Amino acid sequence: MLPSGRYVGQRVPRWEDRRFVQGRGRYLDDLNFPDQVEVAFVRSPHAHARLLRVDVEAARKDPEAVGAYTWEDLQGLLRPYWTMPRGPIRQARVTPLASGKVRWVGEPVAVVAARDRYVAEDLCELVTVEYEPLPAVVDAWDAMQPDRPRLYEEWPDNVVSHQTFQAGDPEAQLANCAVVIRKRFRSNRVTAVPLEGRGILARWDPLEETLTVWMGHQDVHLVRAVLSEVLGLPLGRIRVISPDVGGAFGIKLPIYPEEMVVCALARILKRPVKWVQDRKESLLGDTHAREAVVDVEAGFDAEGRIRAMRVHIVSDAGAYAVAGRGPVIEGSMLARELPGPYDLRHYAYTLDVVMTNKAPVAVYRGVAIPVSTFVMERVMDLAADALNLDPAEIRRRNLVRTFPYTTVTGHVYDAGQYVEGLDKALELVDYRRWREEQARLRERGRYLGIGICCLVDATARGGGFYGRLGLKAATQEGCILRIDPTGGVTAALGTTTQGQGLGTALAQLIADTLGVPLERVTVVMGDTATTPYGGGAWASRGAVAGGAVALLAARRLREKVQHIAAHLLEAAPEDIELADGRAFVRGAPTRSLSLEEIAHTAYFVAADLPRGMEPGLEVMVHWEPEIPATFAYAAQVMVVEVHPETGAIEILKYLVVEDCGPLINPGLVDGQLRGGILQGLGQALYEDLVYDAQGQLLTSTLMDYILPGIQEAPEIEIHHMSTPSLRTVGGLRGMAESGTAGVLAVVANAVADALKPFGAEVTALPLSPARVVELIQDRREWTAGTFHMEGG
Amino acid sequence: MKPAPFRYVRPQTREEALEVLARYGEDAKVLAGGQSLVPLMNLRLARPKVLVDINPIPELGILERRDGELILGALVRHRQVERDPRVREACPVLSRAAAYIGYPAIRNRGTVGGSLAHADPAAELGCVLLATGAVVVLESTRGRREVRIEDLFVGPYTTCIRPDELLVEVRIPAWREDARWGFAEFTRHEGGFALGLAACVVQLDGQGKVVSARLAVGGVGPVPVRLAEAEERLRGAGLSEEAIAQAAACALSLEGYDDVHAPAWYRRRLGRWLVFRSLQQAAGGGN
Amino acid sequence: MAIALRVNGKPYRLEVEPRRLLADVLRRDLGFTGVHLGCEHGVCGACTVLLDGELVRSCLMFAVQVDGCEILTVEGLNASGGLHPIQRAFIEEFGFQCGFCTPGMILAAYRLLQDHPHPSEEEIRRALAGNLCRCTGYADILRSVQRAAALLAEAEGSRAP
Repeated sequence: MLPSGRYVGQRVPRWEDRRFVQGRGRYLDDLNFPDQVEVAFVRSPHAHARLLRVDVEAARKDPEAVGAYTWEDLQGLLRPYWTMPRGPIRQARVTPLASGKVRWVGEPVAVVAARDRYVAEDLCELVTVEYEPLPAVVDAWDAMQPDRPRLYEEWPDNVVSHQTFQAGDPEAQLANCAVVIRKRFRSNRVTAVPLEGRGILARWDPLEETLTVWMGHQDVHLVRAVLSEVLGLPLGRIRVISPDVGGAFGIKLPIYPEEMVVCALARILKRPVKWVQDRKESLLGDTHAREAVVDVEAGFDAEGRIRAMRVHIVSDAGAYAVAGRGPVIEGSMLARELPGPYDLRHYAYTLDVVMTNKAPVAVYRGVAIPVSTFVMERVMDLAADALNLDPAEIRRRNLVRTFPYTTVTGHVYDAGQYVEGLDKALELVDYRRWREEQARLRERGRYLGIGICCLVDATARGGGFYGRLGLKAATQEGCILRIDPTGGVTAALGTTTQGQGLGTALAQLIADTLGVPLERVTVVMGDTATTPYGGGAWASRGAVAGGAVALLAARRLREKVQHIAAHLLEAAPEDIELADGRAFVRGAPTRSLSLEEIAHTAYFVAADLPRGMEPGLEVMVHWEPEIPATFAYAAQVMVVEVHPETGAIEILKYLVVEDCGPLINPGLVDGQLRGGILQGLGQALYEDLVYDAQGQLLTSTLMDYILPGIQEAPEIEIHHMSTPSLRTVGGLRGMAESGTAGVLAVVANAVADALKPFGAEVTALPLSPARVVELIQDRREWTAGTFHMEGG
Repeated sequence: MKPAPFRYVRPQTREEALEVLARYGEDAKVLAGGQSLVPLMNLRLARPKVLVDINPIPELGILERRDGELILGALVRHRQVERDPRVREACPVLSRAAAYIGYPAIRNRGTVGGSLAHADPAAELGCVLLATGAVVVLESTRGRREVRIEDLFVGPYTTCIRPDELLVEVRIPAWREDARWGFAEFTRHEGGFALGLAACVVQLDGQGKVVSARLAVGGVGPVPVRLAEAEERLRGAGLSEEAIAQAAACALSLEGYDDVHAPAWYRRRLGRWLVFRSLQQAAGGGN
Repeated sequence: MAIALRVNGKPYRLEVEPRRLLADVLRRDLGFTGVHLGCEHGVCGACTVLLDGELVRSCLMFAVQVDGCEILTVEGLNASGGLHPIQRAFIEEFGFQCGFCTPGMILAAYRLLQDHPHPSEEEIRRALAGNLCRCTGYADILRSVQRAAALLAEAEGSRAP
């Protein structure tokens, strides 16, 4: 149970983060040393080519240059790497600066250091590189075929991972189904685009032989581990600090080649070395995500219950496997989470993760679940169509109702109210009325559509999700909690925050458990030197894992404080209450001690402590989730009007019922949901990373890669249900990605529903205006009389 | 993304500016609002050796009516075009269209001259001025010449302005009090580049029949164009829905272009719809 | 080139190379790190400042262009050390998450509220259309501006004789 008190459950604003509204945030590019150098990279203009010669002499000799380097210059200081040593993934090695060949447009080939970025870019133009272009493979289906150009020539083909799975007997089941839906679905390639780009500042101390690295990053401990390996430096000689981070969403989880190179340069130059990415580099080379083709065969009985499903997934991996994360996770998750919140016992998948000559792929908010939900929810609607069932009804018949439920792929839905959540959403949105409105408008030649989606989102991974594969990314979490001699409370955790306000949420938990005012709690994160070994921010684990250790530590410390107070006040520990920074005997409030007094005893007069008790008021707790993932659930409903003349999609209503268990801070939670939803809308309607046949990225600026602005943001009505998890501390569930997870599905379903009169097939994203018009294939006679002019 | 080095020149008068352009020709680029040029410079797609900042030249910012004509100096900001009551009076369709240009911060700096010289096929100004008619005045040390707006744009991002010439002002003909007008555009997202635009200015006689019509479409093809055939069809007809629809259908034979945002066929269809909408506005008796 | 300008009410003189962007000079030379760079091509609005009272994108101007000009950055809103009502509103209404777009948003709101002290939702959206946010989904930002309008009106009301 979460503590009850002044703070938990309340919309507590982030007063301790007021620096952000004052323009006093400290992001990576705000940090500068007077003797620093800045670097810029020479990048491959070819998607696939042999690297014949890199000549940095002219750059190196320039009086403005501090240095210019190729892989040859750095290979003594850096090791080639691959994302992970084990698991269902082919192995290869790539170098942080290209050697031998280049495999994607934007791959770093050489690096130049100068006093500032302006000069560094000038010097890059003096570097000459000789390439022998090779044919590129840009489409994953194509790249997977035999005899296509291979990115890794030691491999027989471009498949980096091939996985199969079968539960039950889907083939037999499918043969007996009343309806079989066979469809191919495509999800487009997108990237997170946090407003603050990536960057790194590295400083080598030659006397101490230590490396300090500042990087806006989601997992500082992982960074340290990877750098240790790649630089050949003992872990203990590296310190990684993440200052304020301007958004991350998964693309600040890998460790990229530029960052490795900067660390090597720091050692060579013995001056601080800084690199700050620009937006073009970001679109070119931040890890991309979500590009997949999913072939589905789903069988339903006459009552609309799904009996079996077989899928073949081709997941586009890009050109290499980034350190810290890799290209296989997305495909694996897509395959394993596809059944979603539905009861399905016969399921089989074949997964091919394929390398292509495009930017590397890793993880982006939601990681595959937005796509798996899109596929599953389209299938549900198609089956409903085929069986003449209402789309809401078909879902009711398939949603998991009995808990705990273990899916065929081994996930545990420990508790939930999935049907209730759907019904609540439909009631709140007034589903019946929208159906009536839809019918009415159809008669007048207007196209209203209602999209429904039910989803589960895997959060707070446990069970050594990455550790088993040899990747040093922790699923456990740690907290050191201390009450200091002034009665102040400090918590240090291995989680991190990039805008989620996690520090506030954790402080709320701690403040209510220890009975102190919120302002007295300081939460420290993002520094490997001062925080316990933990897992950082990913899979929405901050509240679950961070919350768990904060709560467990706070409870333990509370108990200790109660015992000391009881001892000093000559009462029973169970009669001691903590409030307002004091410990007092219940019923006799004058018999009390301040935390400061208790701390003073604990630290400085330990002889007065209960016999056998350790001095001090500091505890450390580590915790690992018991189950492989904790699931949030959501039902989302969207109503749109599609304008056939322009292909514009107008969102008339968007409602979400979210069940992520108890809420520490509804303000933070709703903010995460809305932000996540906007990113989903971005992919559904606006964003698309488009490569041409030669592997050139055509959408490499924000003029072409369109991000939704405030005018594109619909009003999103959010309602909460709370089904606490039975397997986490406090019953918490993660939720930061579940907004994103449903959007592709509801948009696609709403548009398909709107365009039913045209028999439009919605199986691919994004739903740009041109694609919508194409779907309609409007062959109506366009004369004024038959063309209705309303709206548009 | 930092710009390449350049020599920065800040002439204080028109004459000085023209001298600089005469001296440097192709090596120079004029800096007005910078909202189109500076992104290109930051990306190093534009690398002028000499940047001629004309912002300090006061006479280039004139905004006045002269014998009914509306004169806009090259440095008149989009914001002024959007908000100045004299523009609203003298050319209401222009005033309306300017509100669609980018965002407030862009409109604060972006200029009339800059927009026309940049010649983005989807720019509001080029399309609207085709519908109103306009004359662009170019100056150089060799003299002064006037170019009709129809002749200004020769291709995407390409005008007939010579390297040593400066666009100093635009003259828009006097607005007829009884003129009807319309403007429509469609963007994927607010403030972004339009996938299509249409503007029209129509004169009707006492019986509501079209005396003259100017229909302009932007964002569909490589340059904004007038729909001459449609204008012809409308002459003598009333602005019924059928007539408007038929006129709009002429947009389907426009040359369109393909890019990542939309294919040519979509742009043509969109052009048809937008022409229809703009004519509808005109028929509706203004805005 | 030598330039003289005022930032947040204080005068500065410095030598700058012509190609240095205004944003970089404000950030690196003068220490106003509240000005953020998110794209350097004028789309995201994170670099927004007020130049002689009007919103501009400081990534699309060269520092040499602002000789003799007056600039306001978000740091100038609470020079006295407290919180400007707009800043307070953004905290109360959860109008920021990572904070990177926030300075630009706040200045856009500040400028809007100067012209429209009681803006409609549509007016707020129009005024902030050029400022991208990747974290909040914008609803809380909208509410923050509405709250800011209310707080400013309160302050105004309490100042009335």
